[in-house]
Amino acid sequence: MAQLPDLPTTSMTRIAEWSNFHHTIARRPVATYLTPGARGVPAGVPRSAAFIPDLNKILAHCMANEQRLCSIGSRWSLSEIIDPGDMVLDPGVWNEVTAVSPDWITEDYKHAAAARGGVPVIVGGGLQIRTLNQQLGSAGLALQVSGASDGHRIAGCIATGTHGSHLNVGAVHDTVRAVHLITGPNQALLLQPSGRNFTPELTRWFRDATGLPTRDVADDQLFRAAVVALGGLGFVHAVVIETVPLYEWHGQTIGRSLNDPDVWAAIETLDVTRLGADPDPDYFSVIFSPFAADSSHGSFSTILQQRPATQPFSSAQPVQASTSTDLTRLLSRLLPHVDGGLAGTIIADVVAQQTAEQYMPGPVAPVFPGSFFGPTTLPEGNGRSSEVVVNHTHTRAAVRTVIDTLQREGAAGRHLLGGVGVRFAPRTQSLLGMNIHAMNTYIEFPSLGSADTTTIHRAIWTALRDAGVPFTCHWGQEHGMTAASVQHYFGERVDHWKAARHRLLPTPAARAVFTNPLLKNLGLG
Amino acid sequence: MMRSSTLGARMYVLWPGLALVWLSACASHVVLRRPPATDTGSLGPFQRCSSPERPCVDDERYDSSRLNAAHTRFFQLPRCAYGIHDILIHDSGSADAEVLVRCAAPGPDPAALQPGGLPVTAAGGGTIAGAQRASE
Repeated sequence: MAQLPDLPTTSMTRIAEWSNFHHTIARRPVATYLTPGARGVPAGVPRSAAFIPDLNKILAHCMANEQRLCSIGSRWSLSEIIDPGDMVLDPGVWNEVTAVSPDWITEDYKHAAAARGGVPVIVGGGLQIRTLNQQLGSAGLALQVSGASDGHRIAGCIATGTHGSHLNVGAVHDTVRAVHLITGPNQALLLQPSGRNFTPELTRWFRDATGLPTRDVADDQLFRAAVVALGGLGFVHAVVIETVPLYEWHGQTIGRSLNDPDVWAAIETLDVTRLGADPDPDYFSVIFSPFAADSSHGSFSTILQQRPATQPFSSAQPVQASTSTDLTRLLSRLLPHVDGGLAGTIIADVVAQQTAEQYMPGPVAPVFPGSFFGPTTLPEGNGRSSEVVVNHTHTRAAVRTVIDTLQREGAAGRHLLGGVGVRFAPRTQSLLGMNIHAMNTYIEFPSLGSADTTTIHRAIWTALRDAGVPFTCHWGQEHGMTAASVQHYFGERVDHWKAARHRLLPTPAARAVFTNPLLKNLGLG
Repeated sequence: MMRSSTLGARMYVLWPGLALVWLSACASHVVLRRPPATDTGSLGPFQRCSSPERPCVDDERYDSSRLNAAHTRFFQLPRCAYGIHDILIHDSGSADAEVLVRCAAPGPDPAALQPGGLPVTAAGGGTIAGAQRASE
């Protein structure tokens, strides 16, 4: 392949062994790892424009050679969407945070956002959620929703449909109000809904700030495609996210048995009063411990209300992983070899005990969202996870099927070394966000990895199909999706998304740059 | 259970032996420093960072000979445009100690920040300070 041109502000490195956070993709060679901005900002050039010339050259090179460019987030995805290929772009330098001038907000959107106190903020695609929480908190603002922890970069977070469990908001992508997308060298557009949230001045601002010719596009179909883009629509340079005044979470975690009828009624109805909690929570999640004894806590319901901040902002404190990575690897490799009924019982007990220790029942003191959904304690390098998403009307059947399958697999000596998280979010306007129903139930089963993990995941997906529960999976996690299952779950949304992709990337060369194995495997690209 | 107990015992037996070998070939200290070409001299006292996840504090002792103790390995820090994100000193006590460093991404433009406010978009592609905008 032709050599890359000179890139004065970009470091270019060959990585011999590249691994994602959880090592579901491990020790991959990456021929070209590009880091724009690694050499600093050239004198006399505004930072917002400083690295665009190099990006243009990179994109021109990739298009001329039909070379895939993998724009990398925080490497947290577990699926093949993050397969690095031969060329990786690290977009960490595009991490600026800027509030949109009130003069450039349309009256309609101003009126709609007023009820929430919404403040639209431009966020560079390379910014980590933790840093965003810090900058917003210092300005008296907060994200409406984030994932369960804060290590993601914002572009990767929304590209994979990452959510949370806010009952009145939706997933992170549902708080995006515009997307600044770069689709080729010197080709960019600011996408927003047809009803317009912002005046063309905002598009002009992007053009002036970056030096990129930027089209002003208000188009529902393109916007709905772009907020969950799966890395397949272009380079997400920035998004405009609607933030809200800083708030705190108040509430409690309630421990009950695994089969407690009130817990099962609550996940089915979202009526938490049977658990003794205040009605109409903003956040509700349940962690089930599938191997817990009937006499002990086997479910942990966290029920939270969102209230205005009562204390000065403070950042999330750093945490250390719950256990060392080398220990988890040792355990994971040993456990499948510790056979026999007694050992199996002990493993199940240990998993249940560990789950109980992590989710202690009790009050949740007033806590800022960035602290509650803060740094992860998951040891890097040996986590595994899959998540299925179902229409909330199927919640009981789906959760029951998952837990029954885990127990059946455990009885056969294959233990999931983790628990089951159940969360909820309302309908999305995006085309490929997983939350397409009026209310949606996410059922996640994260764990330490072992030789049995893949078998257990497959058993769950098969059991759900056998039970007739329609589901899809989290785009960024290990999954059991096929092109047919994606088409079945999302229906005509798939065709609309693919049509949007062809409109945004009209040439085969452009589509070859912005693709990844997930898109290819699932018939999306 | 027998297998895991046996393994545990082996591990306990093995560890002191490993420690013995380790001590005989170890380096005790690691110094990370800027490359000479970028050295602008030191500023202020040493900072002592001894409590995990707590802020470093001014060291009460200023004795630069500590940087040159026996059994010390020296490493040059990379040239990071925006400072350092994190440092791992791998096998810090061994003669094979090595250092992994990640550079930090840039922070917000200090000129555009006012206490309590984000920078706000302005005509021409620039920004103005939030507090300034609010007072207009």
